[in-house]
Amino acid sequence: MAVQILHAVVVLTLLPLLTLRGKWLARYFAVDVATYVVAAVAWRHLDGADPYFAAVAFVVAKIALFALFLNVATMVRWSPNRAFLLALLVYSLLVPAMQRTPIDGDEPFYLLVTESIVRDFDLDLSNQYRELDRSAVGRLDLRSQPGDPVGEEGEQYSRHEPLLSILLVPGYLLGGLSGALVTMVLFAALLVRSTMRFLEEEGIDDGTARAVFPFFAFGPPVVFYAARIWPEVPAAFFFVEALRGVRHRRPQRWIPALLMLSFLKLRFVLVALPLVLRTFLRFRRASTIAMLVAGLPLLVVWLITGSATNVHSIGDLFAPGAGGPFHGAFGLILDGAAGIAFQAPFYLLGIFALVRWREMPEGFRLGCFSAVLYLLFLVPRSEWHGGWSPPLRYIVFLMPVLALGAASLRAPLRNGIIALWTLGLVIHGVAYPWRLFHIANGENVAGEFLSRLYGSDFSRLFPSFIRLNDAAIVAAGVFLASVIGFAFLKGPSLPRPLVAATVSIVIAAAFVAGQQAGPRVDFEDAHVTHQGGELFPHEYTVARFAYRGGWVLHEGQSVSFLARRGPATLHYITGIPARVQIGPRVYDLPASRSYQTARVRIDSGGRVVLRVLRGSVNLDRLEYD
Amino acid sequence: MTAVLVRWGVAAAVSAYAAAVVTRHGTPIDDALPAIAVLMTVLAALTHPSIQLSVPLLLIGEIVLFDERLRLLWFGLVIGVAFAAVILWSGPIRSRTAAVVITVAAVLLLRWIPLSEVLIGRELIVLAFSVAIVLVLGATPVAIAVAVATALFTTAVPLRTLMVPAGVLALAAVARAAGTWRLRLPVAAATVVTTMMLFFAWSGALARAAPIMLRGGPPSLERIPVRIALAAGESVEIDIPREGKGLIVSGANVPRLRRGTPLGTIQPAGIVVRIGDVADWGVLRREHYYNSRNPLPRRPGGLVRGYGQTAWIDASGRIDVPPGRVTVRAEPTLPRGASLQIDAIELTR
Repeated sequence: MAVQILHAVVVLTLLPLLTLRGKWLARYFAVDVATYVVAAVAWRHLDGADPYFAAVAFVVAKIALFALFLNVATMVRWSPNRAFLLALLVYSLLVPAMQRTPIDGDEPFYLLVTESIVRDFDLDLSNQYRELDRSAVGRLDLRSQPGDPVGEEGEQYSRHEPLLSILLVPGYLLGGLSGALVTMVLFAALLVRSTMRFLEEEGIDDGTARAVFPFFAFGPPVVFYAARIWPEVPAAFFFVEALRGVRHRRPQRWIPALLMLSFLKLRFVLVALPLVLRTFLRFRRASTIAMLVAGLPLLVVWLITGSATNVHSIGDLFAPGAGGPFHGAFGLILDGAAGIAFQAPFYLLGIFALVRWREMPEGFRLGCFSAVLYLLFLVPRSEWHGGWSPPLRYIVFLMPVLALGAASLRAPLRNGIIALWTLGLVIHGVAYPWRLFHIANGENVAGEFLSRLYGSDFSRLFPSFIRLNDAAIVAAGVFLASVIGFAFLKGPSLPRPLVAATVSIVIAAAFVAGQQAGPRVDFEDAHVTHQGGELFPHEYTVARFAYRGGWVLHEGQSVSFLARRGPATLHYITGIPARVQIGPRVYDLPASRSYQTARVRIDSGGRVVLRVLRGSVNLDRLEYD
Repeated sequence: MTAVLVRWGVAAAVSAYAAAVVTRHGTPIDDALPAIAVLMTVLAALTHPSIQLSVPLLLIGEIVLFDERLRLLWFGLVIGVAFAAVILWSGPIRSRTAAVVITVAAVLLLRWIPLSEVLIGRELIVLAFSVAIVLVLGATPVAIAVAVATALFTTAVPLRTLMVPAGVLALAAVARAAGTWRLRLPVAAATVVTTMMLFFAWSGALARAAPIMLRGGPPSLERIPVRIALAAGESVEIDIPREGKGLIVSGANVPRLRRGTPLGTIQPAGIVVRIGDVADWGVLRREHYYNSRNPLPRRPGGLVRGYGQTAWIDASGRIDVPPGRVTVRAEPTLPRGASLQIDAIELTR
């Protein structure tokens, strides 16, 4: 802990030294000392708080303070290279922070491949799965994922493309898991540098770039992927480099960048294709190169796995989604657990920038154009939200482009609400990195927290396109109205004095509404008090989001929840006949191989207990008439 | 101008209403949230609109923090940071009105909660002195800090303690005459004001026991209540359990005793309990503080009681005593009516 504190102090001291000058540097250090004094006084009163959370909050708040100075100071040394150093310093703090719990999601599989390359010089993971205790992944529960390629001799390959694992080799050799994470940090810092250069080249002035920098580099989603083993950050780096290369007509930059992008994940071929096509149409001489960029990744993957599309098929691209393309499209923007508005609100400005298409820099338009095909295939998929990963996984690569859009709007950059929300997200995500992963059940961390605190359904107040709720429909309407308003109104529509007041009244209204019973009860949700039973399907079920979630109760077990009075429909499934009691009434639930409904009646509002008197039942939801 | 006033008026009303809706914990500080929301809005109107962001942050604290100490500290932190921002971003303070409003807002937060305990006449005098100090010192950040600190540390009971702000005002006038009134020191001033506002929920305790509050307040201890008072010469045997760490002891009716005066002994350890180890139990109350000659207990063991300007810490002290049977005897020389109080047995956490 002492080492971590020293590390943080050194980083926090170096940040201003690298950038601020003259009286602004002196002023910063005066404030810096003052914050340590106030924090030392407050620290001794934090008896009831989690000290680690408090420490993380303090460090993140100090970084935000530095960002504020960086934004308002008039004597600043600023360049993309300095942005690289600043990012590198801050990300170095994330390496130990992200190792508080074992790596998760796809991360251990990428690292296993790295270990296989280093130790066996092959991609066969059979022995890695057998000897997990020798691995640096720290996970003894790993198994090959369903559908992973199997070789003719029984070799067990990973479904993930091997480039990221290859890139991790030097770092892994030097420092094991930490070394691999440092490699990712280097890519993240390079991404920040490239993005700042991108902004500069697209005509964004220094002041605006400095305002965007902390949101991009230290805000979600980049900060949550910066020290984690996912291909998203390197992909974003290669994407920016490709865009810069195309913009400057430098094939020696964009060709390797697009190749690396496509090698990282085959899905990024969909991003490379429009860029290649555009270049091909403009410069016919480049057609060979264009075909090379599109074809080479497929060829290499075919050589490795025996299939040009690895474990995927072309049909996957057209896989039907849970709710059609609108769920994914609106969800990526507005969903409480997986949407930009709640998980990285700064980039909403980038979305709004789309409305001012003609005023936007060419780089923004090019970036959006190249992402269209990818997004068209992404949004109808049931996994549009990214599955078991930190939020916004599938669109992290697009963040530099959205940042450019946000920067081009300039005026709304100093939005305090967005800054505070971002600050809260970063503190929470860094302090509790395991909470970056969510089971995609229609709730989010904030909703779950409040639901548990008050025993009522707060989650329904957050828009969910994973499990479509009323809030999502309202949010979609408000969003469309805002976009239309933004398109036709040049100035801010809400007077500044009323912004925070409006937020306050929304909080108050949500607080009151959240304590009332909702129109439906999902039995797996956090507001339901479970006396026994288990979650269905299990939390770590692959593609859990594809199932109808529920809560399985056995004889004698019960759940209680805040209910409305009146008739309702109970959705359930049971393999054996079951009998349940709701309040004073008893209901028999016949066995069936598919989900069934039963009409029930809640006699009085308030907290109601549903008890299983006989058999077992998987309770899906209760819907009031 | 009218439109701006109307907007801010609406913002204040809406913020206050939102705070009233959300308020749920029932302490005087929580109950004062609507008034605090109005104050922060006024502050925002006269300095920087971003200050108003403190209102939703206060509401979120009210909703999610059930632990009272943590919640009130969060309120203090949010308000403290807001005041620091106002003072540090010195542009808005160029206006004398803004400096006065900042000072008045800070004094109201520190001294006017709970409203039912406010001695209106005296508080208006304190407020007037604070405003005068700010104006005499040139409405600078340091002037605000001096004025707010003066208000905080003035007990106003008895009336003659109002000589404190009067004296500071006189010194301020001298400072102005000497030409030092242009001193700004924005960071130092912001630090002082933020630290004071951090504890606005227990401003009385901060004012009368600043060293204890700045060192983390009285520690939260596991304790078994004993509640025995021993008059002069009386004694009692107490069994300290195995997990016991010591006794939490205080005096009663001993506010005039000076440091080192013995109050009793603890045998067989041979410990002499003196003023300095402990103090008169209620000596840090607003009404009793002025008449006290007791120093603060060296190792405080009391509890923070009350809220706002009426908050105080009972001045018990912790005396380490090994487990086993001990005899506590009050000094035969204790004044008439005075006693040695054994409040509780402290347990190892």
